[in-house]
Amino acid sequence: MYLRHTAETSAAEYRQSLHMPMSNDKNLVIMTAGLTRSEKNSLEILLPRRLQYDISIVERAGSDPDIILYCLDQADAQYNLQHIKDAHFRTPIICLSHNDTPHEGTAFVKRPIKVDQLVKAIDKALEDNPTIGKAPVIQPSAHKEIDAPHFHMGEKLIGKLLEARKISTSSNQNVLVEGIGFFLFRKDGNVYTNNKKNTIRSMCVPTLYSGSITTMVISENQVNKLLKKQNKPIYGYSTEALLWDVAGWCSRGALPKGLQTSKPLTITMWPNCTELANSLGAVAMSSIFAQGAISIADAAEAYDVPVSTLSVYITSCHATGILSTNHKGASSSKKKGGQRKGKTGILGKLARRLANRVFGK
Amino acid sequence: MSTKENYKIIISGPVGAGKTTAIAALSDISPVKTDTAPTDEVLSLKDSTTVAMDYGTIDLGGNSKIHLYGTPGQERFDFMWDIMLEGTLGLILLMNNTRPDPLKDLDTFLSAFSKALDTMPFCVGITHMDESCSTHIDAYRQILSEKGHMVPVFSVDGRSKEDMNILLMAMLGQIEPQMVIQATS
Repeated sequence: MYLRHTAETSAAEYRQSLHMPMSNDKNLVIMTAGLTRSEKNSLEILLPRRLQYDISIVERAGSDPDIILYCLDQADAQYNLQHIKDAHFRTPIICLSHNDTPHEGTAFVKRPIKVDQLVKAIDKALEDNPTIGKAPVIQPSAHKEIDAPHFHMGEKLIGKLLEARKISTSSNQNVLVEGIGFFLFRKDGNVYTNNKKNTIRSMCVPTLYSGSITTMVISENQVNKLLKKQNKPIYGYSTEALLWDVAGWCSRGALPKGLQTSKPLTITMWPNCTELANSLGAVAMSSIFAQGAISIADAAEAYDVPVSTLSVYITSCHATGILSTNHKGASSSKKKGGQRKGKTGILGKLARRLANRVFGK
Repeated sequence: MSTKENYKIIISGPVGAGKTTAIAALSDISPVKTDTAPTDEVLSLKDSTTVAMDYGTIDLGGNSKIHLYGTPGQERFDFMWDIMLEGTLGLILLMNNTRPDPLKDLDTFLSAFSKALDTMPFCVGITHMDESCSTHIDAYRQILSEKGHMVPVFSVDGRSKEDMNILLMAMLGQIEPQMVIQATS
């Protein structure tokens, strides 16, 4: 049962409602180091039954586990354990060994592994760390404002492009921005420019003073003349995609002036992610803000995402006009996720697989 | 031996939207097709069309698989849609922007799946946008918004593995954002 978000329900209540207690609606990521294949296979079968959790057993050092099972019988085991402890200082570690050699700061289970003992050790770790395996629950920040740099959009390239788009939309005319190559906002909703994407990116860094840039409405004849006289290639972008990318590049981790990290925000629609420079990043951030209103401070804490990453995303949303500070806006969308129950483990695997494919790994 | 987990994702949409091609882009195996020469108005559009279903898989290791099923596009096969949708993880709707009235197509599919779509995650991919720009992506968003669906709507090339993976990732993002964030960070 999903609770629709309204102005009266806090972000925390809303998120909690999405994760109502269901025995299988929890996923436990267990990282193993040094376990034999048969041990891992047995654990994959036995642990979900005993723990009432979906279990994902991973070996990657870069993964973000909830619990680590570490074999102390390997060569250099003590030395490597310190590295693991340093890298995962918040994660409970359960050491396994044929010898009685518990290591300070870790739980210990003697080999050959008896499932009862292991389950007991995992239960203890879960008891000591109540947030393990649970979906993030957002604690209301009570208007907590966190330190984040701000920038003035009007002084950057994005400000000039937004101004041109506004004129083009309101007058239904072609609008030309000159002084940094050119950007031509056509009536068809596309932007044409003689700048490559990487050139545009470098233009986003400096402050642009009004005198150096001219913005004017031009006729169809002037457009034809302009395009004919070009001896360099001309690139066409959808306005939405160009503004999105330019806004993110101009932001460089800062928020547009006037936006606060404590104010709940939501998006009114998903951006067309396949057209964006950082498609997967946009998908990931949109997943957060499409679910309901949440502040940057809360999102950073709940999803462990840097504020600078969120700021870049929010700046792009702001520039493309899909950002809403109206909480009621979120309530009109139907909340999805009915098939999630008990499938979080496989979804994690699928998400990693898809990401690897896109990143070309 | 490890736990066997099998789930399915349905790809649906009108004739010529690129469902078979999208399955080929996502699948780890050569897709199983049930194509035959069309006998109706589809003959003017393409040489073969799906009459039962297309099938592909994404292998996740450890006996875990995502099964991909493509529905036939013609409305006369709509009796199959509900059957195929049962117990599915999510739905990808592909819309062909070169069709005479692609917005009506979207409306038809939203109505056909209306009961399931209230709870099931789904996303919309618009194909052939490079061939026809008569219908803008905002028009699709508008229709979805009117029906209360705030879901991902992306322009995609069904042949592009990258586009299809991004679309599928967005579907997952609606189910569990944390998974997507972890996978992409």
